[in-house]
Amino acid sequence: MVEHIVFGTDSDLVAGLRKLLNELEKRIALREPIKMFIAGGMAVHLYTQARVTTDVDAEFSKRIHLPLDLLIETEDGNMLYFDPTYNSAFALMHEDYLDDAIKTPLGTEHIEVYALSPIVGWLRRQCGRPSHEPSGCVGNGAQAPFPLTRRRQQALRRRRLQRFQAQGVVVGQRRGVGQAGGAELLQAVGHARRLRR
Amino acid sequence: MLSAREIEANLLRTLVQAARTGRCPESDQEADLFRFTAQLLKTWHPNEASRLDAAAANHFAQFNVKPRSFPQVVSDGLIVDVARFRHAMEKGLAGILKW
Repeated sequence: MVEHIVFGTDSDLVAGLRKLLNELEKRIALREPIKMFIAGGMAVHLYTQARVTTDVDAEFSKRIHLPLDLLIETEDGNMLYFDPTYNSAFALMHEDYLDDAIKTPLGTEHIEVYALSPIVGWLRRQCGRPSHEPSGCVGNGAQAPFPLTRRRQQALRRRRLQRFQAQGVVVGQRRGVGQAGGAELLQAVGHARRLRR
Repeated sequence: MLSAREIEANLLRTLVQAARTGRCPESDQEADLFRFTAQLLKTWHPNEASRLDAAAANHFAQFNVKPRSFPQVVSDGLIVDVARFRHAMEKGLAGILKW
């Protein structure tokens, strides 16, 4: 039997996140529903209640303006603010990372809150962070489970393809970029090298 | 008159030095900044954060002053862009004060 993920929602930090969301909704006068996808330390905290963070790394389903002066102080004296510099394009993300995000019981009238899947979080950490990661991170020092290995390969393949495409190389024959095979990749690499010369 | 960049550079230099040495704040405003900075550094630089936080707490206790809340620190203009400030502090602690 598969058990549903239970998010820890009774900590001081999560109460702070609720307050921050309410404040955001009020400040930007939201009138239509929007999805928010949390990554980073706050996502880890929602899953494990272990790590404490000050910045909320989140991306939204619609373009909004995050006020620079939006921050709150929690009951226990912790600070919480949205990091406007967070950008999911810099980390290694699987192409389905938004579809795989898990809905949390947080949120407001107009904001639905999702946490990135723990596997996505693990992948980001493995491929973008220095080794002196604070304790309590997802997958810190752990062995990659099989589904993760598969997803990492898929994500890496997609990233390589994006690089080739950025260099003007066309790969595959109208197939999804994530589905291109090894032969096509080799062909693309050869083509990219020729272009460089 | 100092430019905004020079003011920011001075602020960073002061806070980096205080985070390293644990010196006492010289004013209420500086104590508020110490407390604020400690929050931003606590994940990646816990030792520096606890030095700043302790120095600020001592100051508030000694002079019987109520600290400003974090939103108030920003609304009063002591810090303008929190993300930029945090990034600059982390760079500063790594020895990079200009970029």
